[in-house]
Amino acid sequence: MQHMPHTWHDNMRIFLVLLQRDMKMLKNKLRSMLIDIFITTTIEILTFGSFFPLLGLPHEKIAPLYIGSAFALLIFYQGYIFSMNLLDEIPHFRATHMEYQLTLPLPKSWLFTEYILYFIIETFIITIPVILVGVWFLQSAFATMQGHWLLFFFIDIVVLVFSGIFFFALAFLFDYFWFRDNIWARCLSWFFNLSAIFSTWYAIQATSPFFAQLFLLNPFTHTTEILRAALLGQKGYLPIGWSLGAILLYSILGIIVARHGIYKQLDPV
Amino acid sequence: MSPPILQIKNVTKTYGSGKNAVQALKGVSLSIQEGEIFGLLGENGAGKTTLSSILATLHPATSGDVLFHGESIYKNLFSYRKALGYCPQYQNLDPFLTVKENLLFAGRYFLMSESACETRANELIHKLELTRYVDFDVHALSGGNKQRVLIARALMHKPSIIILDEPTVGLDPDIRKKLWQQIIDLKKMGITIILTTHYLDEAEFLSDRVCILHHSNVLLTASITELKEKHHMNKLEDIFLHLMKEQRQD
Repeated sequence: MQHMPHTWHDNMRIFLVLLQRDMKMLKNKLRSMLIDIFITTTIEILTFGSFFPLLGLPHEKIAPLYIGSAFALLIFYQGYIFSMNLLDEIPHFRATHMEYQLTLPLPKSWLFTEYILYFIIETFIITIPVILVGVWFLQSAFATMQGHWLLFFFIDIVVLVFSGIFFFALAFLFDYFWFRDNIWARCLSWFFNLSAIFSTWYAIQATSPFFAQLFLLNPFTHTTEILRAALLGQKGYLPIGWSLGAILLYSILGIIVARHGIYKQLDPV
Repeated sequence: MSPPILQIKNVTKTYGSGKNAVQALKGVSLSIQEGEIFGLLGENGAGKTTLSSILATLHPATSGDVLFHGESIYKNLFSYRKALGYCPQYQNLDPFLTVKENLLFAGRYFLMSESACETRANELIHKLELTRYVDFDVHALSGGNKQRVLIARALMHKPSIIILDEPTVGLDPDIRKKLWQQIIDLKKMGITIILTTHYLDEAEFLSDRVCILHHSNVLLTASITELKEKHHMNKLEDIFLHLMKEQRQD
């Protein structure tokens, strides 16, 4: 059989075409996305700038809570939407566009890496205004911030990579109907609520050391604390090195789980 | 006779495991010649779609092998995929793109140059009578037109084999007849066609040879003429029903 060898360069070219297709899709929905971003950011600023202080939230708690429950939680919520969209694309009962893409001359690992890369790009665009505009409008709450924007952007990308892998794996791990009906109550609400999203880890430790230890096992504790530490400074938050190590570990675990899920759901070549 | 383009050697496929294991193919062997229209027939659950999906490399065979020009497809998977066009039973076009964009991206995925994509897309749009619909979103198309776009997409990278899985299911009779003509035109272009169908009139009109799958195994492989002579019947449908009755009696 005569054939040209398929090279790494060929894989990269097809990968870039997939990305080009997704960027075209992104361009088509950008206007609608910008409207959503504007609404989300406005509501978060109003809530944290006016309503929470009215309810008695101390001024110094606004910044860490904003990073946790406005910014980080929005990333994770986008991850949940990513999972739901993937769930509909996995050919459980009918042909889907993913099925077509699985017949392309491209390894599965490249195809699914592109899915995760697109999630990272889209979520970065959606979430970054929430923090940039939020810090601008809530200046007084962020006045004591001692982190660095460059470090924060780097950590944000790390958190997005982890979120992409985590929510990708989640979509492939569970049965379609179980996911649709139960994933929020039986899985994600535990992950989100028993983490440091709504409080800082040290505040939890001061109240309940047992729960603090338990929360350390939750990757969302680390993803939230590392974002706080990167922007607000190390004092009062888990050390960046610890959290980075934990995120790396959970990302590797996520890849293993995703691989298992892909074989279980798709039975691919 | 020239060597077969595809050889399916003792292919089995089992879904699930333990108590829930279902054997969808039980050692299927057959050969497909270059340039022929090869019909895959069988009752529901006979294993047609499973075999198509193995040939389309969507799922691996549990055991056995598929040879393309004498070499295992799994040895050079991507070379085989480049030689293959797959048109599934249910449409899976890109819902975010127009008809023409679907074709252009299909060409790009198979590493065609931009100018080659444009030329090929225009050629297929003309050939498959899609000119009116080039800028339509795919969800705005009728079933027949979606099917034609699927065929055009599968042909974009000039494959030597195309798998058509139930290409005319649910279509109006006049649209079916039009598609039949277009399938014959593909054969004239030298493309090997594997046609999975429930419609026996379609298989009879289009196929050079047919393979009847029964209970996950090959019941027979023969040309339409051979079958008619052997069974002294004029219609493939009668032969098929006769054979199925025989099998049930056995």
